[in-house]
Amino acid sequence: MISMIPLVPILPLVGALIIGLFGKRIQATIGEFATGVLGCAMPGLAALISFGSFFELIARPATDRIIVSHLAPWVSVADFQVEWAFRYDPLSAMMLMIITGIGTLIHVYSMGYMHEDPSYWRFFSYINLFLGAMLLLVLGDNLLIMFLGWEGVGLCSYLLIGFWFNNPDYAYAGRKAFIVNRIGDLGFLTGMFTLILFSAANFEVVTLSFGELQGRMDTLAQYTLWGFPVLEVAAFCFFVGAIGKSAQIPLYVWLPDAMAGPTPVSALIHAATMVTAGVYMIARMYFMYSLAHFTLEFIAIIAALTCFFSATIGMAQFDIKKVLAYSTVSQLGYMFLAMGVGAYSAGTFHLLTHAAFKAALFMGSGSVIIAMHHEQDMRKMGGLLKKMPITGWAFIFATLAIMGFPGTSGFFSKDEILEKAFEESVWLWLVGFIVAGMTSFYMWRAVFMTFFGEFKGDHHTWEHCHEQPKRTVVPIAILAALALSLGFLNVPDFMGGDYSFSRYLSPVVKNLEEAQVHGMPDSIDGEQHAPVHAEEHGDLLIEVGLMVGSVTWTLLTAFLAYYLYLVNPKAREALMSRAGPQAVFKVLNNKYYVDEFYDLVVVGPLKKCYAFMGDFDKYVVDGAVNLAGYVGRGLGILAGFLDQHIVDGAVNEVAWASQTTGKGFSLLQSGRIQALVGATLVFFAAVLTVWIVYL
Amino acid sequence: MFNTLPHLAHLPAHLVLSLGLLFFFLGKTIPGIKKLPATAIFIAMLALAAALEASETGSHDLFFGMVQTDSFSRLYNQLYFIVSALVVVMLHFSDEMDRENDWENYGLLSCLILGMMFMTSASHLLMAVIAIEMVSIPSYLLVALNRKNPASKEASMKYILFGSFATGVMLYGMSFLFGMTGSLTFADIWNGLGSESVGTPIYYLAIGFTLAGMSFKVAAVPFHFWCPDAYQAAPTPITAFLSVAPKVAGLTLMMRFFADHLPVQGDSLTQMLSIVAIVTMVVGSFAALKQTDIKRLLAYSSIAHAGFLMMGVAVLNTDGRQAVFFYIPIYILMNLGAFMAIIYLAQDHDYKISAFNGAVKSNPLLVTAFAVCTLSLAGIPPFAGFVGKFYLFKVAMEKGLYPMILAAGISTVVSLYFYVSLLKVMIIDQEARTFSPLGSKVPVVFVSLCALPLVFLGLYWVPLVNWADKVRLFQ
Amino acid sequence: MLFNFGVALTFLIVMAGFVAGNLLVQLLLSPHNNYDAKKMPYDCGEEPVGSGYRQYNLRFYLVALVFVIFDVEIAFMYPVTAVFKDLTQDGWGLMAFVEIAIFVLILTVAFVYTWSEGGLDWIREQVKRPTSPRE
Repeated sequence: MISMIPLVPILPLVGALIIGLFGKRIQATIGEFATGVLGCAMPGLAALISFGSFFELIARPATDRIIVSHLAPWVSVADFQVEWAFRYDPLSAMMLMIITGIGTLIHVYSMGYMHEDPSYWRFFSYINLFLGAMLLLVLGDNLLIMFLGWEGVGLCSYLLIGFWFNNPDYAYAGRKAFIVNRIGDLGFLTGMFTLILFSAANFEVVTLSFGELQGRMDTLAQYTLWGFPVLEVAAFCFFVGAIGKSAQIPLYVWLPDAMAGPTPVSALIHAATMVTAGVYMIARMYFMYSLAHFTLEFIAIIAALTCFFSATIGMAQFDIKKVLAYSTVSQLGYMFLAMGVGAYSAGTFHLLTHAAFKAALFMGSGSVIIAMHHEQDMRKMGGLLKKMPITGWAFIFATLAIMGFPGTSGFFSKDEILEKAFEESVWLWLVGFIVAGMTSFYMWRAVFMTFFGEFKGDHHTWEHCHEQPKRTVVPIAILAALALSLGFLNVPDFMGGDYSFSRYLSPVVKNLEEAQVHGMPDSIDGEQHAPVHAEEHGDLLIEVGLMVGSVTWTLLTAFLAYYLYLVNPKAREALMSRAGPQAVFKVLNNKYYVDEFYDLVVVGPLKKCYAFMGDFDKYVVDGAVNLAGYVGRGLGILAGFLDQHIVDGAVNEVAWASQTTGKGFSLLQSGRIQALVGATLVFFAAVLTVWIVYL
Repeated sequence: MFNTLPHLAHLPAHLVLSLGLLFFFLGKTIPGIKKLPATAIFIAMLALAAALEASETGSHDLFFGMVQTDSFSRLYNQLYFIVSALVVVMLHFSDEMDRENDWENYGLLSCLILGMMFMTSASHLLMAVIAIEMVSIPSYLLVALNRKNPASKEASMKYILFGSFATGVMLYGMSFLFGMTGSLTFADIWNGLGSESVGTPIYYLAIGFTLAGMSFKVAAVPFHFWCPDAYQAAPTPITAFLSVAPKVAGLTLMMRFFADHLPVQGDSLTQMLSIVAIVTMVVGSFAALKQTDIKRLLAYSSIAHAGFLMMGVAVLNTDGRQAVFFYIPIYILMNLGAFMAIIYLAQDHDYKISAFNGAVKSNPLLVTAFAVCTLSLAGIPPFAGFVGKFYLFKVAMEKGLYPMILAAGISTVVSLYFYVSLLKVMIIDQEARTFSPLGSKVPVVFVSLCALPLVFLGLYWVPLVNWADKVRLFQ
Repeated sequence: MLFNFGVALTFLIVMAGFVAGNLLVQLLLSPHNNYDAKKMPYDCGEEPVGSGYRQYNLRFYLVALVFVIFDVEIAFMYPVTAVFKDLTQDGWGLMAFVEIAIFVLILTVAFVYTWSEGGLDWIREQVKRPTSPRE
């Protein structure tokens, strides 16, 4: 099955092509449902292959789990030899399963969500295209294919966010996503160029494949670029790309606006896959980041800031999807925090668990939104658990996961991150700790406002509100179940487990402290190192303490939400009517006015700059030209005369000469055979003379 | 006698064609056979010959040095079969030839093809003469058979007289060569001429006169004068055939004739041939500028192309041979496509250019395909004609023949004018009269199928280069 | 070698010159007495009736053409027969026979074609076909 891996990205791309070109006709012929099935077929097949390959992979010995399939040469120019090659190893296997598994579930979900949308087929085409691009990103064996996928998902997110483009706001949201992403992509490209430059200077061939780069890190570490170590520069630039793609400060502004797209899009792209591309990239290039300590610090700081910042905003949003969007940004902050302290496998594990529970949350919210006839404001919801039990309970289970309730997947993953952060710096841990509480608070706030209490909308909607059909609800349930269970993949050893996930990942991603302890940051020796933990079991106390502390804190904030929203709403209203809290709330609700700030500081000046350039061109540059024209007018007349009669004349004469020659040649053809033969003799004699005399 | 049978065994396709030739001439007289479909039998014969030709391998020197079959001749023979089959299709859609005469026409074509095959395989001067005549005489007849154009018999007459003149000159030159070297085989001639005779007037005279007959078939200057008249008056499918097949055969004969030259003779030969090539290209391109009849224009264009191909011949090395072979299939497609389009569009057999005004309105697909063929003839990328010309230029450049390249460049530029003026007439000018084309859509498909590979090969021509690789050495 | 060609050229010139010289001498020295009866074409003593310049029937040309071809064929066959005995003794007899037979066969095919298409008929039947427009 592993040999079929190259098919995995190709199948969705083919599906996108077919549905893209012929979708309208297909839908008209076989109907909406069948088109949806067709749209789900390719991702389904890709998922089958992914899962099958995964089982084959783990059957292999741990040393033999990196499989690179070389397909064909791509760019072959002098010493730059990039191939079409796919790399299948534990990291990409995991990503493949996430992407195709959750992807297929979301495809099925979309069949229900996009029901009766006039552009049904276009949606499936785009979402297949997205899947294909994302699969290329994670399967690529070199930076160039990864970049291809990187750009591809950026494009697809633009297409999908602005799916209902007839609404200008949605279209602008798509545009914003694309442009902000591009700013990040500049960083990615710069990083790639840096690596190419120094790689080419020292080695004969540059293929940009990860195996090759890993081997060259030692050499590259010796160089500096403008005073900075090359690896720091490159790592920083790549991280800029990740900032854009994975919505960290300062380039996160597109993600909340991206909620303008259909909910399946939010679930797939902005929860489970695209935004995790940055995390994946760092995991892939761990060997570079492990040698770039300043950048890692920088990443951790930015991640912590982002985490905190967006959690605060999330607490003050009324649109259920916006809450989830800011929650995503915040959770991404956690993942980057883990990466920043060198705990790559912890970050990746959180990626996995987050994909499950966030997708479940988004899909659940989508189900609610449809039931409420596209109403997204939570202030108009309430008590929906009675009407939509499956959605509601799935949502609640996923909330338990995100909050870190013991036993759920979020518990294990978040706790590992917090623990690793604590080892690195208490302040980082503190931020993470606080945000865990905030996360619990705003998620339960959302749950209570939506599913419990009294219904605050209009009666008509309440009557028509009902549970969604199975194809919508079953994927949510599956994901919620995963959200509860995935945690047991990476149980820490002091609780009886053996960190199986980290061990699984260790051939390809070595955490920083492991590397430091064992002294080999960039070799794939495949030995099964159980990730080294905070020295001996003497610090068991700290670990348990941290864990208990987080659980208590999150339960506390959950209870606070319960109190403020269900038990005693009046207390909340009283609190909010005071000036201080109200002002704070206003700031949070308006997202710290960041968008307005950007408009003022960046976009506004840029627009003025454009206007200035335009005026400059019009008056100064053109004015100079006109002046020159006035001065040279007399000369101009003379020049015109020259041009018309002499230069043009020459050209015309050449043309006339050609035509006359031609006519002459053809006139030679008088038609009288005697003349022709005579002409032949003459010419022939001429040719012979030329030969004899000149040769 | 039985020691000639092994020789014959290596020429199966030739045997098939000879039998076909006899069959077609006898067939009309035998009442039962007369009712069989001639076209089908002809195509079947071509297919059989092609299959037999393709199954041959190795290089053989046959009939005591007269004929040499090798991959070079095999590949070209296959091309001749393909061209003939395509021309038979064109014949079907043109009513300029009397269909009652199909048997004779196919017999003449068989003789022609047989002659071309011998031209490509000839390694002896006498064989060359016989082959040239075998090609020329049927083509004299075929040119005369245009029942819609009363001038065709006159054109044929001119062709005959000119052809005999050229053959006479050629035989005279061959006699010089025999006198100088005592042998008529190609290899022995160059050995016999050796290095002492290079540069002597007799050397140039002998080779020049011999070249006369070959350039007559190729329609190179100064033996091109029959070309415009014959092409104009002949039935258009025959014009198409003549513009492609005998020309190619003449070029292969030239290539084979000059192939065994001694290195010391190489420079002088190259210069001789390049002068001929230059003059041909220039005359062909310039003379076409003022033409008002489309078939004459295409005649001059084919003269110019013969000049380009002679560039490839002039370099006298394996690269040149490969470049020429690369260009030939492209040239076949371009020319046949263009001629088929003309057949389809011409009304009342009026071939004046002004009669094609505004053809695009009623036949957009056909004119598009014709435009592809024409632009490819002009050598515009991304069509295959550009790639072919590029290879010819490349081999000339590598040999350092800069004046020839300059002349080629000038003629290409000049030729662009008249090709585009054809397109201008068809696309931009207003329709002067209605087009009531033939009922069948097959010609349109034909031209499109000619145009499509031109587009494809213009972008990805590596398969053709690999096929052309086989003619580099005579193996 | 050039010298030999020069010899041939001189020979040609002398040849032509000799003939021309003779004619010239004749022109200068002979008496000119032209009268009508001398210029009439010879018709075995009879007096010619009508002009000698008229269009002769194309049939004669066709028959003469076919005759020439077969005459040349005979001319080719003649040397073969002349050396046939020697060839047989050298073992080439069968081959020579087959070769000349093929040669004759090919020409016979042409002959059959000509005969059946009515090339040898003295009076050809007029096939009614629409005349092509003459412009």
